[in-house]
Amino acid sequence: MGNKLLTFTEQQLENYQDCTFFTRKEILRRLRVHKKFREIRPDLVPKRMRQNEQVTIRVPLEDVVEKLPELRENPFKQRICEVFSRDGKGNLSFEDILDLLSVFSEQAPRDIKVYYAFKIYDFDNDRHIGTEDLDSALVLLMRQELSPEDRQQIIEKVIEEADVDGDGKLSFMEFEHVITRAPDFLSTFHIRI
Amino acid sequence: MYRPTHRTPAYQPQNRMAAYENTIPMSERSAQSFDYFASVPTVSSLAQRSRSLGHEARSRDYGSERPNLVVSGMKKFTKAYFTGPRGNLDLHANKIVEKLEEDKSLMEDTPVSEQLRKEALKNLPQGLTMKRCVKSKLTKSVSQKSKRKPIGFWKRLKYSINISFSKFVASLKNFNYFELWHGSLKDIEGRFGSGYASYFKFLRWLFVMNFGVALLSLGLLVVPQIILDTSASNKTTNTQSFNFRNIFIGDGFFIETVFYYGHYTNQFIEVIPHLSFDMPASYFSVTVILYVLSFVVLAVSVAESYRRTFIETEGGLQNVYANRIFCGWDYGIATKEAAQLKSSSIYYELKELLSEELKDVEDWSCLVKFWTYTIQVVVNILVLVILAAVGWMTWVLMKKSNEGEIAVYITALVINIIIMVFPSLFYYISKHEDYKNPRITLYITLGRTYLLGAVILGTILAFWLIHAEGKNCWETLLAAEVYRLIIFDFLFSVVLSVIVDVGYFIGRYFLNREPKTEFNIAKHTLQIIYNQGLLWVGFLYSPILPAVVTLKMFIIWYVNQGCVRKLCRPPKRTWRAAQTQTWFMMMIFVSILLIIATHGYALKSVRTSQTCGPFKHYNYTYEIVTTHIEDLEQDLAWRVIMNVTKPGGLAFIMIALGILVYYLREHALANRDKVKMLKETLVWLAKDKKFLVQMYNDVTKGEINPHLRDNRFVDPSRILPHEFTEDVSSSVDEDDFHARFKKYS
Repeated sequence: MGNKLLTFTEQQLENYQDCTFFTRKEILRRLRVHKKFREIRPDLVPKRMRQNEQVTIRVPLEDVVEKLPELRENPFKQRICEVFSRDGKGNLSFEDILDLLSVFSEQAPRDIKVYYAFKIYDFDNDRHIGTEDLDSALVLLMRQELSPEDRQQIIEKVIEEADVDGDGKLSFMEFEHVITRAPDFLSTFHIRI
Repeated sequence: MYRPTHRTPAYQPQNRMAAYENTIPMSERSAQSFDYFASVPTVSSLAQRSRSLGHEARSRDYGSERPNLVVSGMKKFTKAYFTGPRGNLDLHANKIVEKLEEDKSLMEDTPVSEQLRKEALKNLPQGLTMKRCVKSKLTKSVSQKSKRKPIGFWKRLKYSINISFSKFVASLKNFNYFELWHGSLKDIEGRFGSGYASYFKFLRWLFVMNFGVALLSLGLLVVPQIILDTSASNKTTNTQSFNFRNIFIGDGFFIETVFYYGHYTNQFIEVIPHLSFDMPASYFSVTVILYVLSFVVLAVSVAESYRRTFIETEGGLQNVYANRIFCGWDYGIATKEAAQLKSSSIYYELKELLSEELKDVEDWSCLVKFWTYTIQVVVNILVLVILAAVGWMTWVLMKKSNEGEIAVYITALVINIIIMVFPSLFYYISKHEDYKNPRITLYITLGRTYLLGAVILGTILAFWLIHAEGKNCWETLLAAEVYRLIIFDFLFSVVLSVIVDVGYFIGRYFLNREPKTEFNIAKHTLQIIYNQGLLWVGFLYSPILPAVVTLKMFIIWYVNQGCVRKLCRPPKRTWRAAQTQTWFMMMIFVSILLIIATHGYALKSVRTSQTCGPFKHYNYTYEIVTTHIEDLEQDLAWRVIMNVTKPGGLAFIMIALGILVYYLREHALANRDKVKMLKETLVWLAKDKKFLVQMYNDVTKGEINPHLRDNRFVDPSRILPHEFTEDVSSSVDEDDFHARFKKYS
């Protein structure tokens, strides 16, 4: 343990253990989240962070999506950072990154994952996944290989399948209903640290 | 009129379907509006469910047993959370704490409610900072409010037992084997996707289980025997000489070592005076207990996997488009080329789906249908005939294998060639059968390959159990046969196939074609399952077999990993890991079930050899139990068990189980119909809502709610009677309101 014990106080560790889905051992040994965080911007992040700094020091969005290896190839990386950052612009503090990794870990229950998945796919933050949201999602996924007519057709099919109350977009409940019936959601919505 | 319908009692799911219960959408569960904006009333239901402790363990449960606490992500919180200054953090933390305080069971000062508080905190979908704020406020308020009544002695004892138990379980979790090979698993997942990773996870799980079994059997069976052998008073020399061939055949020298049943003594081992070790009892109990433990572990995993894949998802894939988009991307991918391949695979799948839309219209003509069905039936009969032929040939080989050295080689060779070649044959056949769905083709091929392995193993077992009377030390010979098969299988499916793969790779490289192929997950998984089956068949008669198989799996891991990394490319089609995993687990479960049944029969009704082994002074192996427990024959429980395990009793149990399964299935179908009905109701209710909002707007002529004239706006699309009394401040911002309002004006 040695050096790593010095990066967090006992109190902090206990807080993290209570509020995330990681065990104490994972936070300290396996995850090395702090180290990763430092690697993104060594000039911004000190070796030992005090209580306040864990919240206040933020790493800008562009650096995160480039340097964090788990997010680099993800088409939704920008959106993920926006969702988990406190200011909504994508600048992540240490606690935000810990939060991110905790939600994507294997122990997080399905409900939390569904909630955050909904927030990620809701590009315009209007608490509904509308046709524009679906369009942006498709564009990001396919890297623009699909023609607009195909996209339109697919979007129509999705709305047709999932929309229950007929308002033309997916609310959280409808989204949850679709997702809970997908057997693969848990295994794909998972980042291994 | 907008009160959501509560679950009608007539369709109340039973407790067994409790997991299913929780996937009913939130609108059914919460007592308030249809809203996504409902508060946290379900903490109380969490408390109800969480009566028993040991909850750290529950955090592995994928949310199926947790009620939906998520919805405390209220709009007013998240919006201000993103935009407001730090002062708002305090404000909203206070609001959350208020809601949580409503539940009495969370606010007590007992360890129970501490656990509940922790659970509630973890499930809160807020950022970490907010959670810490909430936690500190909560603990402060709890300590203020707690009335320090003295807890009685028994309660304290109960709490301390519960706490130490849950701490113990948590420490077990800390020891968890996820650490093993973690780095390489992550690498494979990042470069090739979660399909290949699922195969390796399965391998790792079986490896750990076998390792545990190997440790126990080595420690409790092999080591005492070795101690006895090496002690001065009992030196026996091996009558056979060691030959290198013996490693592969398991014959000769090894027959008289601790490898096989025959060498184990039936005496008490008393190397250290006054410390005697009852070998026969130990042999019997260790093997039986290990079998039962493996069975229990497998049963629990199969049940959990089945529940997760089939019950919670109502029988599999629907909503194909939505699934592809929302669950299609594998978030674990970490390399550029894997990401490229993934996005093209999603693209191809979507294109395929779109084109199938058009194809679906044309119906097959009657003649084509008839022809296809005939072909399928014929092919299935053909396959059954092939399997029967394989069984017969195995039987003949076993008969011949007792005559001479070469015959022994031939038997093992032939069996292994069959196991290597026939799956490809089945795959080729199934391609021509024109099944509607490529998944069905996959499942049929898997089923046939599995049956092949089962037929071979079954024939071997049956042969030895039937011919047990004539042979001397038949258990050792059976164990030697199994050992031989394991070693030859290792040679064929690991060594030989690596050579073949590398050869193909080089060949294609020189032919200027794409050298990297896909990794055949199904074939390799079945190979592991066959291996595991061999282990269970042989373990009863060869305590050292788990160690051998563990070593083999260790080697398989590294060999396959190397192959995947160097010779394979990521898959083109998405491998639906979740469902096929369940099928694999079920196959393994059925294997162990059948094998345990056969061994049970062997223990009960097959005479042991009188010249070797730890049971040579008994007629039947189970007599060791009866002689050790006095008057067992007169015992009621014993007599009940003996009668139940007769064929009549077993048949009765089977029929009862069948009826139970049929009943549950009918129940599930009835629930499905109910869901359909409820969906239609939802659609009608939404239409009603729109209509009534329109009417309301007409009546008020577009005026803001006349009751609240102090500039507090109410979102007209959210007008429900009870909401007038709720705190609606800062719930809608102006632009939002105008945008929605415009729609209805």
